[in-house]
Amino acid sequence: MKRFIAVSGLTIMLIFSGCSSAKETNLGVSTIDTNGWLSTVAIETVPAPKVAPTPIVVPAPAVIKVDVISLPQADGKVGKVVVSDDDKTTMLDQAWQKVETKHLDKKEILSKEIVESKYRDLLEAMPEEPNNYRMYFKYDSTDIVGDSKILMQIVEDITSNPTLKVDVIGYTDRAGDDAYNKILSMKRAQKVVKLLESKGIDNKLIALDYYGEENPIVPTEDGVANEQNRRVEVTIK
Amino acid sequence: MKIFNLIILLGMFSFILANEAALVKKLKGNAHIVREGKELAIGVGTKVLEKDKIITRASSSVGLIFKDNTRISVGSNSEFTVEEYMFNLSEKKEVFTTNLSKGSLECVTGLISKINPKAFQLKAKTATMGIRGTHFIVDVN
Repeated sequence: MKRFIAVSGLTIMLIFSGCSSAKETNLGVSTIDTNGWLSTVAIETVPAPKVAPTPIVVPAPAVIKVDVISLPQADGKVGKVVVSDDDKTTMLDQAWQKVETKHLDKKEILSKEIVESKYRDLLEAMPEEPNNYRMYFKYDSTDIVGDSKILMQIVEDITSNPTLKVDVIGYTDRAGDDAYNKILSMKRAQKVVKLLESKGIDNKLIALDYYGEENPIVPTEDGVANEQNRRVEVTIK
Repeated sequence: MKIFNLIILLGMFSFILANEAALVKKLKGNAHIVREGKELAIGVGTKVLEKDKIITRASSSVGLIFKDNTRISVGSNSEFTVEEYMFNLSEKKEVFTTNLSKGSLECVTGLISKINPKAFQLKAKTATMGIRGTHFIVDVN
């Protein structure tokens, strides 16, 4: 059924492209006439008009104004914001800096107060940054390093807040091969999920994932053991 | 033969299941999702899937948290579409294409933007306009 819709969608698009090519022809773009396959499609799907219609007046597109404003990160630093429009590109690298599309060369610095009052609804609707916890593991093992204090903190956080979801993501360092590490990262994540369940956390809240050697805390060469990268991250959303 | 059928079945499932992209974490006023032509009510905890369009009315807003920890708040009188979303680090597949066709949003980017900045694309109104960054506001007038 879906496939059928997809096919008919394609047909509609072909018809549409046929129409637009006809319009362009009416507007006097002669190259379309020599475009063999496009005009063939047009003839097969749309009957050619018997009388040459009057030229179609294309309305000027409405002026679209888009403002982009860069904001500081939680740590106060300002990341770069790159804005591109057609083939033009500009970069914002200061806090509360604004650029308007169509005038990418015109930038201005607004005040924090102006941005905060104009966009109060956005700022209020922005979810808090989710709390993230890291549990570290012994080399080539699913044994957690350290005491169970962090586990109790995680459980406390989940139960005392309106938690929608708990991401439990396993990782490894780069000692050992990729495929092995992927499974090791899965076992580490499973271990943490079991611990959370044993503390009464509802399994339906938990989403387990494992990414092996990817996304390291400390980037290293392949084959290098690193105690910070051997971890499970628990993100409370 | 059985394996062959299973492969077909799995193929169909992956075709039908849209990627889960985000959760509604905050909601104010009146907003809904348009999914496959149908309107769905939004509540806190509602899952947002790839291809969903979020529409907010006056004095309304929605706060989203994505799988990769990107956070987006959508302001009033806005239309925001999650065109494509894929986050799977082990398969090195990251795609984050969204479109703000109307209204305003604030975005704090997450892991996709950090790991693969080119995978993040926010379009505003027209397909030719793209925005990348870490923390920004976009306002389509």
